[in-house]
Amino acid sequence: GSPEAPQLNTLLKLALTIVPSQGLAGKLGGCRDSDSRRPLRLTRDYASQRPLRRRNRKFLIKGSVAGGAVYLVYDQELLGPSDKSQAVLQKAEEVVPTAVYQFSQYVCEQTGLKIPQLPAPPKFNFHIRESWNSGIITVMSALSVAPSKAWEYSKEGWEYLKERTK
Amino acid sequence: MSDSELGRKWDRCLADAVVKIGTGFGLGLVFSLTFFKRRMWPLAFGSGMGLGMAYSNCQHDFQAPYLLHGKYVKEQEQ
Repeated sequence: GSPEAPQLNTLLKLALTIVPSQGLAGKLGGCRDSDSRRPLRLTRDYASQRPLRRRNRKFLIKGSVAGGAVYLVYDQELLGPSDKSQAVLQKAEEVVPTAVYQFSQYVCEQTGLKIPQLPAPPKFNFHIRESWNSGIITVMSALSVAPSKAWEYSKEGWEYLKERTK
Repeated sequence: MSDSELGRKWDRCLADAVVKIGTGFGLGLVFSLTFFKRRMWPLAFGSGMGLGMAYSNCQHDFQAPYLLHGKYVKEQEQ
């Protein structure tokens, strides 16, 4: 090598250190950006990006699924007045158990599996709705009478102790 | 307002709340899976929206005691 080459290298290094990182030295290919400490990417890597057609197809599928869900909610008026919601819930209570049973029968026929029949749930003769009101009334009346009853019992207990200590 | 009417209103409110929260949760789940990379916030947002709508419906129902609620009856074909 010529003696001028090392001098040019030292001059270039000096220029890169003196010139600010956002200036010309920062724009040169392969130079590091001192602020971000990441190499500048001057070219795009097209090989790593997915094809446009596949992305569009995926977006269409996702959009149709989401749009179908929104339309179903709108058609069934699930977010509408409370009367419609109550009717939908009653319809679901009637339809869902039979649908589940038919689906399980279909699965059993197709796969050959036998689902063991569960015993029937025990039937209680206790109606929660009918006894709820009476239960609340009983509890509230007991709470309202509690202070006077506590006073009476404490008075009776005090009289009893006085008689015993005489 | 009689007790039976009050009980029916509460039943309607609870049924409405269940349906609306479930619908909001379902929609939030769909959008979370399709567009929002399985994040949790669409589910919370949808459930909250459903709860708020149910609360608003209940509030209107209790504050308007003279509003009659009818039932849809299908006409019987002769």
